[in-house]
Amino acid sequence: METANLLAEICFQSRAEHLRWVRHEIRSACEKYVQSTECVDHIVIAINEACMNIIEHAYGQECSAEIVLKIYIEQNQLIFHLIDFAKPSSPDCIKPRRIDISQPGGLGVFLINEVMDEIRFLDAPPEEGNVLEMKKSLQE
Amino acid sequence: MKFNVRTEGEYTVIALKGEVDLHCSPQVREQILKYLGDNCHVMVDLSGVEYIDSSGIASLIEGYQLAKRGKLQFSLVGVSEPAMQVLKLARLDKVLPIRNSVAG
Repeated sequence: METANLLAEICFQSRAEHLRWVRHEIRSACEKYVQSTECVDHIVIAINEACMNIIEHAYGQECSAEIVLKIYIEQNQLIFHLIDFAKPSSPDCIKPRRIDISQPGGLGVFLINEVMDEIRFLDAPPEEGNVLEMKKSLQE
Repeated sequence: MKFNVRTEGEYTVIALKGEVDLHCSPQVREQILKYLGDNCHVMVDLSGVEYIDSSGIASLIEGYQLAKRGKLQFSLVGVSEPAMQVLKLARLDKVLPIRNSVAG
C-alpha cells in the first residue's frame, strides 16, 4: 500500500436507498482506469454486494451508521477498502460457498469472490470495526 | 424501480424496470409471491432491468422454487444484458428458466 494512490473516498450512511448513488460513484472512479466495460460492471456488482452485507448483517437495523469506501490504484491493480464501525466480523463470512438454489443465502459473497482476485479482512484500528480489502487486477 | 403487471394468455407477466436492488427487491419478492400464491403461472420480464443485485436474484430463485412446489410455471423473459451479466456470474443462467419472449 506504500505506493498506492487514493482515487476516491466515498462516505455514506448504512441505508439501502444510498446504494444507487454509491454504485454511480464506484463506476465513475473505476472507468478511468479499467478499459473493459464488463470489468467495471463486475467491480460495481461486487462492491455493491459487500456494501449490502454491511447494511444487512454488520449494522442490521442501525441505518444511520457510517460506511466508508476507499479506492486505490497500485501498479496494475485496484484496491478497495470498505470500512464499517460495527462489531468485528468473522473471516468465515467472506469465504466462498457453492451456490445451492435450494438454500438461500451466500449469493452476494459468491459474486464478490467471483469478481475479486483477493478478499480479506485487515487488522482494523480500534476506532474502525472492520476493514474489508478487495483487490482486482487490471491485467486482462 | 418501477413494475407493472399484465396478463398474457395463461401467464401473469411482472415487468420490472430500472434498478432492482436491496432498496426495492422486497417489493419484487412480494409481487412474485403474491401471484404464485394465487396459483398464477408467472413470467418476470427483465427487459427493462438496468441493474439487479443478489437480493433481486434471490427473489427470482424463491419464486422459481415456490412455483416448482406448487406445480406452477415460472420463467424469466427478455433478460436484459445487465441482468444476464449477474445471472452468468452467479452461474444461474442455466438453472433458472429463461425465455426470449412471452410467446416463447
